[in-house]
Amino acid sequence: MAMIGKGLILLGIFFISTGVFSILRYKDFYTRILLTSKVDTIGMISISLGVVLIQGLDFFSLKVLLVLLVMLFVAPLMTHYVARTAYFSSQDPVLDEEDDHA
Amino acid sequence: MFLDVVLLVLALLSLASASIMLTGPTMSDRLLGFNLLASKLTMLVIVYALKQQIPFYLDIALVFSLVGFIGVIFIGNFILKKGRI
Repeated sequence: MAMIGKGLILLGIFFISTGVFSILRYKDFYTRILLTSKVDTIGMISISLGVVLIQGLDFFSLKVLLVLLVMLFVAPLMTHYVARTAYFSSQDPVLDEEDDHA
Repeated sequence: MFLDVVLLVLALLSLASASIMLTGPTMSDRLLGFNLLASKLTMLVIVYALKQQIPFYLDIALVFSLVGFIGVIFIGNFILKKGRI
């Protein structure tokens, strides 16, 4: 069970580092926030479940699940508010020839 | 040993998020960097609590995530109202 937990933690770190490197890769703000937020949420879930699998069921792991529940409510609200702020402060998307989807 | 490596990688990713917060081209990029930094610090505290086997460190993780939420909401309001709070 601990080996599965370690594998889940490694998977979560892979997801989070993918999100951070995608910020360095792309220049447009909306592309960045799209790529980062989803991958960050998945990495968060994966790392917390890995910690629960390493620890086993007791007071510690139930508290980790409580923190995971609060973060699952809070993180999409944060991302939504950042995107809403950028949109209503009239920030235009930057479309160069490298990531041109139009 | 495994958890030490995990803590080191998470700390490097937090430093990368803080560098995005310092050198982002626009104001929204800096806000996005703060968002990333809050979530990564929460995960860092969770793994550190597992390493030390102290369950009361998880309260710090809870407070980090809620303080990041309040910070993003306030800085977003500051940008939306163009400096007038």
